[in-house]
This record gives sequence, structure tokens and C-alpha cells, in this order.
Amino acid sequence: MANWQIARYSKGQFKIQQMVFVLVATLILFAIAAVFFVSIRFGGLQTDVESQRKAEVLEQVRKITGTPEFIWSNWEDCASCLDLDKAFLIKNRTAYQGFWKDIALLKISRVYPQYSTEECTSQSYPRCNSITIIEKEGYESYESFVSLCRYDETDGDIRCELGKVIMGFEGVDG
Amino acid sequence: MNRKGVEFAFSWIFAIIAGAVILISAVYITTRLVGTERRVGDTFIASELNTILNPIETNLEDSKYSTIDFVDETRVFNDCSTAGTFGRQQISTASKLGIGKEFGEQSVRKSSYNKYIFSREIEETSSKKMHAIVRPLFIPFKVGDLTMLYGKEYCFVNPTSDIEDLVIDLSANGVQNIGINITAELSSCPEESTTVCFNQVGCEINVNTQARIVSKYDFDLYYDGDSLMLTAIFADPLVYECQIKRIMGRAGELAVLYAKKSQYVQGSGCSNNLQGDLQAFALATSVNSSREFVQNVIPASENLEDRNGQLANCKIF
Repeated sequence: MANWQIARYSKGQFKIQQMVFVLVATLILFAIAAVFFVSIRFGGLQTDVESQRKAEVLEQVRKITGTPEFIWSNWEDCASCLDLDKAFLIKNRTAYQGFWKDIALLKISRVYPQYSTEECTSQSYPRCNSITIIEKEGYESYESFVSLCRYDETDGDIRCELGKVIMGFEGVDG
Repeated sequence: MNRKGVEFAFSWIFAIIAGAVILISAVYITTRLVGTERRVGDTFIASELNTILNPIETNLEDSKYSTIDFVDETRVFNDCSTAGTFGRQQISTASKLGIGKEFGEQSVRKSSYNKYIFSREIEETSSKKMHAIVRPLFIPFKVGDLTMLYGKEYCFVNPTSDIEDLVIDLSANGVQNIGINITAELSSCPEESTTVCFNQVGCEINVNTQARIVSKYDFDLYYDGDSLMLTAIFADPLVYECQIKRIMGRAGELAVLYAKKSQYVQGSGCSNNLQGDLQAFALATSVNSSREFVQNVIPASENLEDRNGQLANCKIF
């Protein structure tokens, strides 16, 4: 005859075990529910933050010609005119680094006429196509058409050309 | 011996203790989650407030008015810092939920460098509304938009004709309630409103248009022009002085930018000789108070405006 030893539990011990199983199962259920809640909530938060940033960029791109750093103030009746000279000169001003919060791209491009040099430098300005003031990685951009105005030495007068302002906002992951 | 007693099995005691622990934990976690959610909500309100203040900024307009509607009664915290070149504007909110009488915890602050909000340090909504008036500031070129944010009613006693015209204009001839009443007598002011006297005393805020001083809470705030007069009326003294320093920081940077532009266009054959004046103006913008601003910056600004105005095609601003 095999020497078996059968464990004998009392009714009380059995109930405690049952209760512990139920408690552990309940806690696991709560934990799963919490994980679901947190993942859904934070997924929503990310979307909310992105839509906030997008809204801010859209508003800023609409109002960019009115900001003191770009406003063309020689004429009093041109709301869409942008001072190209100031835009070019602000590019290398260290004080303005980080001034436009949450903006990942701020670029001013000439639409017409186009020149052979793409990015403006102190050698090529004003015969160049674009001035990039801010450029970070991972952005979604929006554009607004503007008039790029400056004093033109060949004309000896003020000259305005068609251009656009491109602004991008930084994604939450980016 | 008859020993009668209530039989209380161990399993029952265990179930009661475990149940109590679970219930208390659930209540605690729920309370914390509600608090966190409320703070997240308030942070979004602060962020949205920051965003919706963008469209009411001016371009070529003289001034703009807008009402901001909140879902609950809300406090807006206005923090101004002068650190760095441009200083920093921070706004945060705390809302009052229908079930509680107290305002929630202050939300996370939303920062910006190009906004200037003039309000009390803690501004409260009235009937879940807040008023915003935005006016551009030119000294002598555009330096920024001044946003006046207020929830409670104001009563202007005998204001100047320019201020009266502005209030009438913004309220669309009285059709829209912009939270500002105009009266000839102090006694005619509504009880709840903050009273503002022009060239007389006896109000909570007194404006002396000759000396260009707004007096409130034992502080004298110096201003120049109607835009800054209004901002001094609506802002707490510390907020006003801080924002003046911030605006001057930006004015100084813009003056340097215009000086560079002046040099560049001069090289292109557009003579203006404004560099010296612009550099002098940039130096004058290093001020520590509104008094210094009126004493040092305004004369330099007027000189600069005259010099620029004399230029024909070669105007720098």
C-alpha cells in the first residue's frame, strides 16, 4: 500500500482560500480596468494636446503679419504685408530663440518671382527664395499667403512680392 | 454552565476587513482621479484661453473686445515673470464644480513670451464670463498687444472723452455689455462694481490724467497714452509693473532689429540716419518701473517718431 498522505483541510481553511482567490481575481479585474482607462485617457490627452497646438499654429499663421517682429508699418492699410528685411534680420538674433513656443517650423517663402538660390544668406539676400527662422523635426505645417515688402535699391522704392508664411506645430511624439 | 454567544466565523471577519480595504481604496482612487481629471480640465482651459486670445490680437485695428465664456465659475491666475529678454506670461486656471463650493487646485501653467495680460493676480469670472479688451501698443513702433482681462464690473466716473468714446465703440453703442459702466456721479455706480474716478478722488482706483498716474492700493502706476492707462486700471500693481518691464524688453529688442534694418536699407541707398536714435532708444528701454518708463522711454520714443516721420520713402517703421 502506497504511503499517501491526504491533506485534510478544515471548512474554515477552505473558505479562506476561496476568499483569497476571489480577492486576487477582483484586484486583477480592477488592474485591467485601470490599465484600459489610463491608455484610453492618455490616448485622448495626446489628441487634445495636438489639436491645441494645431489651433494655436493656425491662429498664429493667420495673425503673423500683425506681430511687431514682422509687421510692415510703412503703410497703414496693408494687413497682409510682411517686412521681409526684418524677417531676414531676425533669423540670426539669438534673443528670439524659443520666443515662439510650440512652433516647430517658421519659414517665409517667396512664391513669385523665384530666384536660383533657395535659402537666404547675407550674401544672397534679397535674391533668394526662403528665410527659415525655426526648423525642428517632426512637424505638421500650415501656410498663409502674404505680401513680402522691402525697400528695393534698383527701383529706388518699396517693392512687394507674393510670398507665403509656413508654420508648423510639433507633434506630441515628435 | 450555559455559555451563549454570537458565532462569528473567521471567514466573516476576513470578508469584512478585506471588503473595507477594497471600498476605502476604491473611494481614495476615485477621489484622486476626480482631482486629477479636474486639474487636467483646468489645464486645458488655461491652454484654450491662451489660444483664444490669439484671434483677438490686433493687426491694423485700433482695439478689439471679446467675451470669453467658461463652463464653470473659474479663476484665472496671472503670473508674470521678467526673467530673460522677453520675460514670461503664465496663465493657469481653477474651476468651481457644481458639487463643491471650493475652487479646485490651480492647473498647470501655460507660458508664452509674446502675450501681455493685464488683470488682477487672481481674476474671477462673473456669471461664468470674462471680458477681454485688446489694444496695440506703439512706442513709437508696434511693440505688442495689451490684453486686459476682467471678470467683475467696473464703473468709470467722469472718464475722459476718448475713454468714453472707446467704451461706447466697444459696446456697440451700449448694445453689448462689456462690463464697464460710465456715470457722472460716484453714487450712481452699482454696488458690486470697482469704481474708477477720473481727475477726482474717492474711488477705489483714481486716475490723474494730468500727471499720468493711476493710483490704487497705495501704489502709483505711471502710464502714457490711453492703452496703458486702461491696463493700469485693470491690472494689479505688481502685474502692471512686471508687464511694463517685459514690454520694454521687447521694445529694446525691436529697436535693435530696426537699427539693423536701418543700417541695411542705408547700404541700399536709402538714407535715414536713424541708427543712433534707435540705439539710444534701445538703451532707454532698460527700466525698472513704470515711472522710469515714462521718464526715459517716452521722450526717446517721441524723438524717434519725429525723426522717422521726416523720412519719405525710407521710413524704417
